Amino acid sequence: MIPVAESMPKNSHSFCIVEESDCSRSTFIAETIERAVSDDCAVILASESNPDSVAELLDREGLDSSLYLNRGLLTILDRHFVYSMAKARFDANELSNKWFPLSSKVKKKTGCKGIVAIGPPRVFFETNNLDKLIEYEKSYGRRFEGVPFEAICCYYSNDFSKLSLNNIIQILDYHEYVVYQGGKYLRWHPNNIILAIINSAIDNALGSGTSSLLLKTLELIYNIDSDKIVGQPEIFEDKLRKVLGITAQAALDRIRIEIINELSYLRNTERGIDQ
Amino acid sequence: MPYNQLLAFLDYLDPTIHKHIVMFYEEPEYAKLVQFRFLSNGLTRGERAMYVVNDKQEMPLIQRGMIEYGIDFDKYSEKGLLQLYVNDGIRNLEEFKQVYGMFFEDMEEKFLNYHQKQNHILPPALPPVRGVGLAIVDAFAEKGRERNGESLRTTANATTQLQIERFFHNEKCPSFDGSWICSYQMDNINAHMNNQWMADILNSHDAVLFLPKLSNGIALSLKRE
Repeated sequence: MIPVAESMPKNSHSFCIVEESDCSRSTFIAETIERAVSDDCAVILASESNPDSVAELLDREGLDSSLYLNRGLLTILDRHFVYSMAKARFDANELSNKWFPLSSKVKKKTGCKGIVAIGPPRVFFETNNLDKLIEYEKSYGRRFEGVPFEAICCYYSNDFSKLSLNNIIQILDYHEYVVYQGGKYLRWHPNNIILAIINSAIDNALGSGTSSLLLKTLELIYNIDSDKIVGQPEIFEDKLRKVLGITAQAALDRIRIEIINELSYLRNTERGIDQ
Repeated sequence: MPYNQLLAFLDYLDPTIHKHIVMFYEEPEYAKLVQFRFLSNGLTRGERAMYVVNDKQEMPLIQRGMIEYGIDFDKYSEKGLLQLYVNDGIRNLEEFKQVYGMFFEDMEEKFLNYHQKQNHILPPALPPVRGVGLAIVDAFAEKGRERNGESLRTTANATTQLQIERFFHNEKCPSFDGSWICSYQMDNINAHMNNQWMADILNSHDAVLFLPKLSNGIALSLKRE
């Protein structure tokens, strides 16, 4: 069972995966705003759409966006801000320098105890800068110690499914929590969840009982143990291709799909959480 | 239904890459089907096939099994392409070299004799060999099976078997024209995966086939380069 999150801000760098075409994106944003405001936090939302259409979307979710906007509790940044990331050539320091002064300004203006920032990493996908995305995510670390700030990267599932297994595991590793509907925060560290998914995906792709034999063989032949699978996923992927040959792609695709399904914001989860 | 990766591996086997294959199985009937498929694929490609049994009484069973599988036993035997041999109990590496050397010589002779009888002026080049067989029976089984009232499993057996596997892998494989499956039966493959001998065996082969109960199994390449 996943407990509801502690109050915001959690001083964490988290992420969620929403569907672009259905209501999960607006549900996530509306829920996060309501929770943040009730915990005396203001929200900064970076959107690649224009602010008016985002406000309309939130109104349809039953949120009185004008009330929050007028009181300064919600700031919607437009395309210009999002695409200024590209102009900054995705330099991680320069991007951080854009967020934190803005955060201080909003905090000062509203008198709230903290800030919750929501950002879509889409621009990295659109400009084919996935290496920069990984660098950017890594630069934040999992926590913002001593800073009343919470960042939630809101990925679209279509974008996320373009990532390699290696990149997916890296992104999981650089965030403290995955956020689910209802303000549920799941910590994927240490790596038991991801290893359980890899096990199950291999069994589903190649036959029941094959996963343990495959992973044990990787350990005996290449010293790829469970720590290395998560800590150096690129090596795991490379060796998996070596031992499975052409079949490896089917197994890797299955692992990616099962991980992405587990990460989906609207997933009805029964999985446990380590708070 | 999961994709049967193991059977695909057998059907597209490249014997120049995967010459020395180890198979761990739990159900003998399934293991035989995999072995027959491996040999049948080779025979269809014009290769020779050799099956080494550990008991003379097994020979008719294997022959019948091959025929039931769809291998034209008489035709291939007559052409010197398919032979069954009995391993009466090899005790050490020297005996292995001698006994298996005789099997290969006999097979070559039968192939050449057939072509002589056909009045071929120049005999064809010897086709590659696909083989199935072990030097020492039950070397790594958790329960020693008995033959003639004597338990077959000893530590010495395991040590010798490993020595033979290494010899074949390191000394013979580089010049061996063909592919060979060494088959080990165990009650629970997973339970053996933490044993040092398992690592040693895997490190002495080019590929491994795992056939656990209630599964299609999996084939893994162990080539490092």
